[in-house]
Amino acid sequence: MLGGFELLVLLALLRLGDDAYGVPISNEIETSSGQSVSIGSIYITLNRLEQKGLVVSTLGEPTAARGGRAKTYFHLTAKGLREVRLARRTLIRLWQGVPQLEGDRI
Amino acid sequence: MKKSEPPILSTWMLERLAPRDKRESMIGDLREQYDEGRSAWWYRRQVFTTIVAGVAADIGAHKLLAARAFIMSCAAFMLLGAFFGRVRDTLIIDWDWAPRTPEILRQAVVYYGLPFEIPVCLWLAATGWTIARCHRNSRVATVILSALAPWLWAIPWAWRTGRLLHAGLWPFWDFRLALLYHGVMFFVGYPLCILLGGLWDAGSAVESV
Repeated sequence: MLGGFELLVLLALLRLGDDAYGVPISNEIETSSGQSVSIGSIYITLNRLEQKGLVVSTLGEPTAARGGRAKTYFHLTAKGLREVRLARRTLIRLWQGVPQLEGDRI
Repeated sequence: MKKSEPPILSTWMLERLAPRDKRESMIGDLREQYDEGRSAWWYRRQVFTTIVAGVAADIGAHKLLAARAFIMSCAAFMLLGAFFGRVRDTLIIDWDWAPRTPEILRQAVVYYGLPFEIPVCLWLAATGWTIARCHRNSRVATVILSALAPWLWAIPWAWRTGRLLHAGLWPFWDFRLALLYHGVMFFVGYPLCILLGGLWDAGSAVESV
């Protein structure tokens, strides 16, 4: 079962597509959640997801703009996509029929 | 776009203490965001949280190794206490024994126990170095955890001393500056020696990605 932050990171990867590396992932989560996130915690989560086989990473070319440091791009695997779908189904089922949440506005 | 470099000390720490896996990309990401206009304070906060999160994750993933490193550090500190305690008891340093000039050296020897502090610091640095060598895959986490070992002795010492001072029973009031010095060494100096010894050959950013 995915953790809350893991699910946020996977959803950010899905939304970003091929341009998913640390900075846009962090921006995407900050924009959606309205809270500041640490780059370190994003990488730790991505490493964990990679070990579980839900994400794969590829190394880009080093760029002078980043002090000569390369970007690491992340992509969802088929297993990762299945996990996100499963989490979505589970959450929708749990949200349905809860009187306290009905009529809520975001 | 900013033209200035990000805070040097924070970058130095990040290059040595951030999680090894994908460290280069992580440093690059922070640099990119800093260049896009984030503040130096934001950068420092990111570095701190990155290091703390990395250490916590590493300890969680290698609990037994972390425990072994901590025990090694405690054992080294106990050995140190036993050895130097005996040396200090046999080799009592007083005003007659200390060098007469300059005055600052005379006080450093008597009040601050300089002849003992130097080998103590070297021993602790060697302990940190050994722990780092024995735990290459989780070096940062184990070294940081080991650096906290002196606090096991420092906290009870501070508690006892604080109670005596509070009750007005501390017999050496004239030595309060030396007392403060020993407190700083216990809580900051000794852990720092272990940390520096452990990170001695940690290398800069040129670790494999």
